Amino acid sequence: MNLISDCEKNFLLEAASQKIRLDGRQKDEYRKLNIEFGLDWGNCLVTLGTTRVFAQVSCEIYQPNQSRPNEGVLQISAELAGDNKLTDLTKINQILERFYKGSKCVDLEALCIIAEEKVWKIKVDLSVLNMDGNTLGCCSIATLAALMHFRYPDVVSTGEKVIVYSSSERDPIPLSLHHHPVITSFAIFEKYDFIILDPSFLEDKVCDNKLSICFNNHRELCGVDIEGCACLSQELLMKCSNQAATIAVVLVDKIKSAIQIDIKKRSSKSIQGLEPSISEECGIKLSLSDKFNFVGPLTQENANEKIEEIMEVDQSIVKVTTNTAITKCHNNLNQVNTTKKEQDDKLIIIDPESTESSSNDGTDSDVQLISHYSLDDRRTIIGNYIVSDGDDSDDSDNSDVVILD
Amino acid sequence: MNEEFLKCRLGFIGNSDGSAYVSQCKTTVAVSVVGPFEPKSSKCLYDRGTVDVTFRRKTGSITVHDKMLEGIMQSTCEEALIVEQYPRTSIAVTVQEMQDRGNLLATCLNASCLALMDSGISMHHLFAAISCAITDSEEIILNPDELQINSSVAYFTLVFSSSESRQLLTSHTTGKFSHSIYLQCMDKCFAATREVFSFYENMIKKQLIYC
Amino acid sequence: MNSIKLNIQETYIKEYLALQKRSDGRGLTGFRDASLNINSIHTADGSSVIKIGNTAVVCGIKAELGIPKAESPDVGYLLVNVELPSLCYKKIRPGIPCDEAMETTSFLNEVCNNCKILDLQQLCICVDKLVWILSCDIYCLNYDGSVLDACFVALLSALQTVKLPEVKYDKETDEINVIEDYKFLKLNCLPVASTFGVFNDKYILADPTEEEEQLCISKFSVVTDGNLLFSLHKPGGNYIKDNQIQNCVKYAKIRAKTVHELIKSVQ
Repeated sequence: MNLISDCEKNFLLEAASQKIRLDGRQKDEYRKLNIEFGLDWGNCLVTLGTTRVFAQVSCEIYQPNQSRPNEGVLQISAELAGDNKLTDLTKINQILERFYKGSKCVDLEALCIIAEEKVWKIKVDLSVLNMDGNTLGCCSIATLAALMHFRYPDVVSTGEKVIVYSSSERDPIPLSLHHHPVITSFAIFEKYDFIILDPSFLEDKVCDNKLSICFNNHRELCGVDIEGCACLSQELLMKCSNQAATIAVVLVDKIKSAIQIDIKKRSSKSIQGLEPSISEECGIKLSLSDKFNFVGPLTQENANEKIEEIMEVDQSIVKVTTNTAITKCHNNLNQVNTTKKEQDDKLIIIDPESTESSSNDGTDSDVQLISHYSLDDRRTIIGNYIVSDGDDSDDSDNSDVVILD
Repeated sequence: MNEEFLKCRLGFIGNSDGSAYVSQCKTTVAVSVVGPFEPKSSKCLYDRGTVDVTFRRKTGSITVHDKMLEGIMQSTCEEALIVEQYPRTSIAVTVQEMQDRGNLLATCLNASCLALMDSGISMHHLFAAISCAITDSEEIILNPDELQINSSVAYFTLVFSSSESRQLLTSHTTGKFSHSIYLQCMDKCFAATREVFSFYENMIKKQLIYC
Repeated sequence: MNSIKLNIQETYIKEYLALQKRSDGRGLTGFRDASLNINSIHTADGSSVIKIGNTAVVCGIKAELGIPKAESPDVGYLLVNVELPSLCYKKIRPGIPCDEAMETTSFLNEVCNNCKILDLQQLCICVDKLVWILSCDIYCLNYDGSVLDACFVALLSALQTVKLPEVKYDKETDEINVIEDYKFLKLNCLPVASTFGVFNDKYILADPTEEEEQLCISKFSVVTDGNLLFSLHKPGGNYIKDNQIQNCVKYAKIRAKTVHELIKSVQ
């Protein structure tokens, strides 16, 4: 999956030398971005071209770090779903954590409930469903959209007790974000002086350098990450950052409008949630009707079918002592031999008080020590009981006690 | 009964060998199938392929209960595939929960079947899952919503195979119930699965026309 | 795993089945003998050991005091955990709990909670402040098939031996006084699991051994208290026919009665 054939590589480089992209996009053209929100807060599916990332924000009450007792915790983790686990997302995880935590976009102090005791922990879980280039950019859009969409339950601390209100009691609160950083990725073909935005999977693999710049909606730089042996000139970097800043503003606007549409839908109760879009080319739907409620007299037919096999459970219960009982089957080969005349067929006893009880119950000559015990033994292994010979009575006069060594 | 019961889109995840994005009422899952590919030597069986189902919650953490659902999905999928045709390989099925409003197990199973169909891996039979709830007054509700599940006395998820005769593949139940009501539920669910199978058929037909 | 070995075993067992017999001498629907012992572990608050054939399972229950959940302040906890350590079965590797242990744990918890075998309100001492936590640890000592059946019997008989002292809780001072007035727990019902192996569409084997479980195309567990069904659990595998289900339910009900007698006789 990660390997690219030489043909593909050469073809792409050839195209790059003529400043053409394989999918016909302009060099500064983004693919189609689509943001869908689910029924729950902080749940979104971001589609960028065919790259798909699903994000879910969750929160829990958490003990704060010692070093920052009055701050909440933000945790971002991206994982691959639906790929055969060949690609590694640790780098993406690191960059996201660095850019989003480092830029302090989430007001963590507002997430404190009781200093040094209880804070909110906000967890962003990203599932990369499909990797098709610019995974990092897509992840960052999903992270931001999910964080902006998320609402956490209202809490009131009454000094000793913390009351968490459910969504029906009090409206949940949105996270307070200081600014909205979003990552823009570039792929650079150094040889041909060709810089492209939003690289596709192939471009991502073939290019010389990868440059990811994080800008917020106020055109402020939040982070830069360069991958590859970059000898980037100052002008190039400036040019890219200017471009990234413009794009960040556009992207944040897009996310904001998507959230607004979602909230409008929620208030008018016409929310659909996540579901596949059904179009002419792809996808169909099934409507279940009530008609099959009347289908099938199958049960009646089956009831008439005779049960051929006869139950042969004729186990009887044998009570051995107060605490032990066994079931005994008459036609079983491996039945427990409780009442045979032979001395060997005794139940084996492991009893914490065995030495005492055995000396009480019989003379020393009656005690048989077993040095070897196999798991194949069908007799009860742990017990606190005495077996009598012959009759089923519980009298312990002439009983043999067997002690496991 | 909800108007739009199943919605599905195949080929949703381009990188995988087969995928389905399915919503059943308000519950949505995405399933991808990768394989058959060469597994680690410890998982390699010389006479058959192995099926590996991973169930992912949207928040990332998995509970013991989810592990059981994963086990049910795994053995249901494994039985449906002709694993003997793919010796020394592994087939990975990833089920990602995206939105849960009840009937999660049934949706996951239906989505896995659609994704396996999309992947083109040989199968013995198809399978379809239907959930139903029984109310206090012994009324059977097919494909109940979250509220109905919570107020029900018993809740079943039944899986049937696509063969003509009635073949129960998987049964997962909660709550107390009598044998006769179970049989009634089986009748209803079996009838409903027929509709699901015709849906599968239409789905594949459509896929073939447009590809 | 090893298809040649399985093939030989299968032919061997099939020949037996044609005679309506099984390799250990049972009939097709015969259950293995069980032996049950309660109060086997003196340090636990409740305990039992069950041996069904060669399958041996021990259950110990520890009662502790704890704080209830905020959303359900008036109920205690019943936590069941099943361990299948590597000593009980050659196919289980040491280390993290195996999938089967997790599935069994989850299944037991589900049945216990959904079917209310125990009124959890009787575990409450003071609303929102103090409840009993019953942690039931079930250990499998020897894995020879139908572990689920054994787990249920072990759990129920152990629960019946649990004696809880009366506890006085002072709301003002948070003081806890234990009064030596022990009372037994009240169980609402006794669900009994019976596992059946579906060998093919002709034969159903009751209470399969480990060897038979390997050869069976699917497993089917019926949990019942002799009257109502608590669960019909079939986790995938090959199909089962309608009349086979009916037979299984019928056998399971008879079996439940036998096991009830067994549990009652030790009290």
